[in-house]
Amino acid sequence: MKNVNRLLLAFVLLLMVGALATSLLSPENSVELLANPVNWLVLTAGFFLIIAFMATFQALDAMKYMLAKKEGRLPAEEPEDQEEDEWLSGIMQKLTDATPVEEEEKVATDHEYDGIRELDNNLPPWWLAGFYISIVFAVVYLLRYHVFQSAPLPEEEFKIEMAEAEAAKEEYLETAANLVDESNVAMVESDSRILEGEAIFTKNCAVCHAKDGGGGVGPNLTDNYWIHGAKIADVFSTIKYGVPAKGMIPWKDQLSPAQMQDVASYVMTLKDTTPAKPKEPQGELVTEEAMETPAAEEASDRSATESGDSTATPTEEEALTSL
Amino acid sequence: MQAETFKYDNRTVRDFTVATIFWGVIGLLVGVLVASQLVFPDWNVASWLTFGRLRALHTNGAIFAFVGNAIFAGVYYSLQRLLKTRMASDLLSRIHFWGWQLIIVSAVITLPLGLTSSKEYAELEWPIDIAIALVWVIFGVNMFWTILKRRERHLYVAIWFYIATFVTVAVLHIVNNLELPVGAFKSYSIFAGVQDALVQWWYGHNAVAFFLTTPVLGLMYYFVPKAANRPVYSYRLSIVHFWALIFIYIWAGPHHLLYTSLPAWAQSLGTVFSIMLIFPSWGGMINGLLTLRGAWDKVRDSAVLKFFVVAITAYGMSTLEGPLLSLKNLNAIAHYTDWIPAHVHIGTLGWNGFMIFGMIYWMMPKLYRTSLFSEKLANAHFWIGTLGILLWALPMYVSGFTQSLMWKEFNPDGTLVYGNFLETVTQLMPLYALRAIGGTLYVTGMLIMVVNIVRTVRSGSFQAEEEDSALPLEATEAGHKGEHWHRWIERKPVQLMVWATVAILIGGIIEIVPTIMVKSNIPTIESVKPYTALELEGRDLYIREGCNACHSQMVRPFRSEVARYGEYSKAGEFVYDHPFLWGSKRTGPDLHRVGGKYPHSWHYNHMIEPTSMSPGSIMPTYEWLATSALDTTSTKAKLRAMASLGVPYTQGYIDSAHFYMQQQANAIASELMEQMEDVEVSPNEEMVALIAYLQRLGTDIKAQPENNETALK
Repeated sequence: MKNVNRLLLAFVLLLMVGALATSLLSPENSVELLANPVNWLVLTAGFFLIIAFMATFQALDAMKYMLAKKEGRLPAEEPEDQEEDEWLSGIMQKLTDATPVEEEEKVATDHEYDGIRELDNNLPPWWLAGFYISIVFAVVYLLRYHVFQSAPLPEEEFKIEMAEAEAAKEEYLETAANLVDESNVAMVESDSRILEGEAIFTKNCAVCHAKDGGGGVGPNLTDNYWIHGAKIADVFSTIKYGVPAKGMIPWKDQLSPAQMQDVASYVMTLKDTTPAKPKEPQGELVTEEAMETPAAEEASDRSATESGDSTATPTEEEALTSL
Repeated sequence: MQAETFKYDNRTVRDFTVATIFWGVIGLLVGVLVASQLVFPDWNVASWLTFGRLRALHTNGAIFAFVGNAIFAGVYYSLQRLLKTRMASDLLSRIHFWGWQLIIVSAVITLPLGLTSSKEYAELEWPIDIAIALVWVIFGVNMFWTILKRRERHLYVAIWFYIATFVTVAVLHIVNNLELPVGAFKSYSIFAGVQDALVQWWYGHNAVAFFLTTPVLGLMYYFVPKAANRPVYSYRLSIVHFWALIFIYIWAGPHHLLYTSLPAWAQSLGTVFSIMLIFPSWGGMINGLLTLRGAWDKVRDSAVLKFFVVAITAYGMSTLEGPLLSLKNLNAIAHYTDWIPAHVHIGTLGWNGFMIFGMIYWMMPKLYRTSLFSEKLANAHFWIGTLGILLWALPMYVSGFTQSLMWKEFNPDGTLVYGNFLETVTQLMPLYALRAIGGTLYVTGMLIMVVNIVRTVRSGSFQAEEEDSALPLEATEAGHKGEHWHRWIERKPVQLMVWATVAILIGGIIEIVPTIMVKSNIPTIESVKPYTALELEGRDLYIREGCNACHSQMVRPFRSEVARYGEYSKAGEFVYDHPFLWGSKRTGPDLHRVGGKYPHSWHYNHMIEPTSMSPGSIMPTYEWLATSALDTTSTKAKLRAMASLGVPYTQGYIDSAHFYMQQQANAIASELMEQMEDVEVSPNEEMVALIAYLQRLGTDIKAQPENNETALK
């Protein structure tokens, strides 16, 4: 049991040091971590918790020993590693500075009220230290916020939060791949995203369109014949909304717009490849010249009507008025 | 010197104990009812049984009836024995007992009727406030007189706590209830807006400190060493933690108002004093728990000691949690959510309830010269009660986190993920149900105690007069050489009281006086105008129905709140709010910017049947607002009262108040009937006044565009 105690302590201390070290090593976290009073408090609270656990273990130990003694089944080899344990109880002694129960008469006062006597143990050093630390915390806190003004008060904090949110939102709007839809979709440029598309195709589409796109239940995707349009916007749109009447399910709830763009791009790369078992052509023949003419207009029309009832998030105004 | 014999008054102790049990069961049953009403909104069957009105009955019942009576029982028992004398006046004891019960009965009658001042834990109206002050002073006089008659030279630490309790509660109660009456059961707080909020939470926080904590610590210092038959761990610790506790506690009130329109310096004081409060509070926990050193084997067998151990542990937990919640970053998450009731109930159910149960189980057999009927039943009570606390608190912690996360979650495109507040409510229903079950278990435990105590009483015989003897005080009161310096003040009850008063006044004065006197603390907003007569009447209906029990009126400066509700609240917007109505909990959404958000008809339909506008809403129906006529007999008196509190109503306006009121009501009623073709709306019904108030809320600032914009930037 005593070894368990020590192991536990060593383990937890190691964990704490490890956690602290890693967070200090990553530069962007460290300042924030040290500046945040909650972290300090959590650390302190954790420390006390460990001590409480150890104390409970010891009390349990003592209780077991007492019980055993009472019932006359004292283990023969009782005090085996007494001195080994001393350093731990030494720490506890230093932290609590309590006079043992057996010697409590030494610290007894002569006060007695209705039979209640008072001992006069020293203030527990851990308690006193904690009290001093909390006072130092208070002074530093007030200085930071109100004298040096190095930490933001609520109004300023709000401005910072709003500015950050605005920046994040703008950044999102600029770079977010997920804003693509059939009106603006284009071939992805990086090979890695084509590979992404292939992976999604293999996982989700190959069942009907064959692994190499040669077709099966669904049509052949490698030839020049198209049922629902040959442009990437058409393909994207077909993936997104599906053709439920013919068994093609809509993927908009299962794939993100970026993923649909990846897989549509991959489908475009299949053109003119030679599949193992090509399915016979279906739909209209689309030549290269035809591709130039704007069939996309149609597609964007459709998107306007169909995306209206999609599960897009409500606008702020809608959200607020539905409170 | 000859020992004198005298008799303790046990009758008052017994009566307060019986009252504790009686009101405890009732107060907590009301708690179970209101908890269930959140799960089954249909249970709001009549106006006087709605959540908004009953919540105050539950809190007042639990605090002042249950814990209050228990404190008096414990004080009357321990004070006599610690001072070796009988209570000074049996008559005062009687008046105290019956006066307190009458106050409770009057609360039970007035609160369901909607007679409330709206200030939390101080809801009772002014005549009852005066009665409370009188009875409290009677208690104080009786206690002090007894102290002066004592046969024990030094005052034990429990009595220091009793004295601090007496003076502080008196100061808090009187200042927070300074109000101007406008009728037998209606009054307006003399403070407005930010100042009223600060005074209220200086009171509210310290009601917890000096009604639920210090007197109960006093009880702990008597009953724990008695029950365990062990000496108190450390006299010096008692001294340090007593003075530190009462001095620091009083400052911490503003932590209830972090991120509100309260001046930032006051908020910071609230935070730092809360942090400094951890160790003084824990001093009490340490002294209580370590007093049990050498008696842990008894804890296994004794239900009384088990109750005490869990109570003191709960005290330690919630006095650590409280300061942590006072840190801004945690407060931003927890405030207005179910985390706060969870925190509070660890304190009340755990610390207060279990201290009281332990005390009753220990004291009642002694009063009846017998032993407890069944230790087994007491143990059963202990385990059921503990389970009840856990089942109460754990779901509420989960609920608090869930709420907070849902309120604050944004889509990357800058919209709220849960833009509809209702989604965040329906999510919590299973947790609310679990909480109600936890509460039911806790009350079940109390009912087991009732059986056990009744059987105990039947098996024994009551000893109303208990004889004891002690030496009279010697004429000289000099201390002996080498004694601790603090022994001096323990011999001087008056000095002790004076110094305790000084200690508790400092914090309050430093925080409250500048907030009231210094103008820059509440920047004026030109466009903010007083409420119209009709809106003022509507506001009084809002207060009557206890809307502020579930709806806040304080948009904090967070992106998530500004996106959801609108511009954050400014101190200058509340200058005419006597009393303030910021609320402390968002079971429903904040209403400060609700004005103009919906058409009148939305409010009308929503009051008649909330689920018609918000499917799944747990708000009670308020149909009676459409059938009862607005009482305008005291409108002019109300306006005059407001005017004398500094609200700029002109004499001309007050004289023609009824005319203006009718005009505004007619306009709203006809607009309502335009919007809802098949409904007949009378301009004189209460609904119209309430709608007038709701539509005004938070709109004044919009009349001042440049102010609005600069604030947004």
